[in-house]
Amino acid sequence: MATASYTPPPYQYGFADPELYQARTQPGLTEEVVREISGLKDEPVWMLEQRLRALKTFQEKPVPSWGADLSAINFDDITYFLRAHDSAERSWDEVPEKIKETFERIGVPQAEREYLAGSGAQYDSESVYHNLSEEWKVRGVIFCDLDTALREHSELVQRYFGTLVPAADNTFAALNSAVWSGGSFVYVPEGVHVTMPLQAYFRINAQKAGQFERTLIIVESGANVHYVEGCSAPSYSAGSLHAAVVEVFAAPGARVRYTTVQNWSDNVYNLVTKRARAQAGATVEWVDCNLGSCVTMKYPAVQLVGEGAHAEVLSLALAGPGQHQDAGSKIHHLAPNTTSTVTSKSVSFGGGRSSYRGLVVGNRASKGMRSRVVCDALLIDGVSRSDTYPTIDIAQPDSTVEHEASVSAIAEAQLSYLRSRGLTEAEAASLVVHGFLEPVVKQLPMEFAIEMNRLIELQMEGSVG
Amino acid sequence: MAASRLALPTHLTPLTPAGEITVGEPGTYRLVLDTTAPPICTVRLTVPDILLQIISNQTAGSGEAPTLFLTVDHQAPRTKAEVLAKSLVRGTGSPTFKGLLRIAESATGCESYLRHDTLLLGDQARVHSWPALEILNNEVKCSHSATVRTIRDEDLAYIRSRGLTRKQAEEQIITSFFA
Repeated sequence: MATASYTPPPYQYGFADPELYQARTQPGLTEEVVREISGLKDEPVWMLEQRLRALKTFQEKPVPSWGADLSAINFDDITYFLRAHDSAERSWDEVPEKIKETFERIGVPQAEREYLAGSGAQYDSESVYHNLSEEWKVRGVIFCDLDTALREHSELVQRYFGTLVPAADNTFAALNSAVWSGGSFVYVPEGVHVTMPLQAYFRINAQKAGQFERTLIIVESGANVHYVEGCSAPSYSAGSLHAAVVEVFAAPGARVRYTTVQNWSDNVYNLVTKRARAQAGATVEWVDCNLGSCVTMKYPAVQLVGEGAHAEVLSLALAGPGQHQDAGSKIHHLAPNTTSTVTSKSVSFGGGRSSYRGLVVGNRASKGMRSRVVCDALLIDGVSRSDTYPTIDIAQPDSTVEHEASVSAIAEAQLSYLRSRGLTEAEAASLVVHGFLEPVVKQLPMEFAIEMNRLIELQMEGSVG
Repeated sequence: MAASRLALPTHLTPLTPAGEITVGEPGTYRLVLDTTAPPICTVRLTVPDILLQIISNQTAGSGEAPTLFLTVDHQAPRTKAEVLAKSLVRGTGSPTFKGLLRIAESATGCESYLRHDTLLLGDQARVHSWPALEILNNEVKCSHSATVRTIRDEDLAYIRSRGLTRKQAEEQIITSFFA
């Protein structure tokens, strides 16, 4: 296909409210900053100690150079903690008007009014609003921000926090462990099926604000939950950093789905560590949609530690001008008869670069394991780029492992067929792109699927046809 | 042999295995890499209208860990390449196969395929497979695939029902894996 001229449309959510913060730390990262964050939150001593150890680890670790270009991040220029409002709110009416307005524009109230079980919205670093319907509260489901959980359920938090993603795991996990604030805590007791998705929104608002949320999801035996996270951030000129850590624990027979729609503005570095542990018979599903940011490095991982555990990763990446989406998945098969399926779809246009970086591991214990990875990439024009870097490390003869990847342009035959039905070239190309992404988009909750289709159309306007 | 995805003529000019191979004449070529091949091999296709097939047969016996890092660099338009790689692992063998297909921004009209199949024999066998793609323009056809499996009883049952011993049946399957 010929290279089409591309003018990026104004970023849809690119508004910024005047900064309104009650507490913020000095830019830069020192031990004082970490102590200040911990002090402001009135945390238990073990958490402060953990933060300080993590800070030391972070200072010792180099910034990884094996993936996307991260050399432009200046860690001394980032504000590590911002507090927009004093405490987490229960009712929507109590949320300050200014903050409410921001959420109004990204659609949280509608979602709340309609059918969501609970909603925690993260405004910069701390949750300002949290709600969970009575029905689930009575059955023992906990959904709150992690700071609240640390106060009210500190034993649970201490038992799980940092056990799956320790601070020393990687540079950005160490950074997050040192300065984390906000993020969600979900606990689903044994046998409880939460039939409605739990939802949280994240935004970065202040210029140069880092956002280091920490999410902990614990799902007990036979329980079931769907957690949904959507991100959007106002556009800014200085680079912002988002380094989150997500830990998901699925007990035997549990089922967890974690859906992300990420739409950071195009100056954000999105460097996230997401990991789940699935015990016997448990199923963990990551549905991961990456649209925004300048650099995304995110590889949702599942450790299949119990017999018959199953992992499913659906990944979608859209890389436009100046963007590098380096996404993928890591699956560790560590028990017999574990299975995994990874489906990755990426679209590069206008000089964007999308990479799939994946890992499938099978060890001596994973007898009878099965894994299938499929990566499809669509290159819209001649200046964009697509990479695939899958690593397959199998030490288990009784295994079936398949990987396949293909890279293509939009097929002329499909375009001419659609045009013969009366569509313009742009409409036809847009339809082909939607069809290509359909297997992932159809897995999203409805309002996300609609928003997603709109976002894709908006981002790709003028770049096809 | 796995079915070729390129329309190959009957005669293919053999290339000599080396660490760096530059193909600078249009034509049809075949490169065969076996256990004696250098561990790092980069093939550059620098002029248009090259058709290249690369066959790599890697065998790792107990205690062996051979490595092959093969790069096919499409620098010119209309170059076509196909890599058919196999790894057979016995005992405690642990081979590494890395295969990178790279298509430059200016190299339009290229086709490039890579396939890596591994047969693990023996319960201590292990394989590292890294089939990678770096595609910088969209007028290409490019794909790769990798599989890992072992010989299962059901695979042997048919051959053994024809009167072969278990060992003979296994050898038949190994022969056909490389054929």
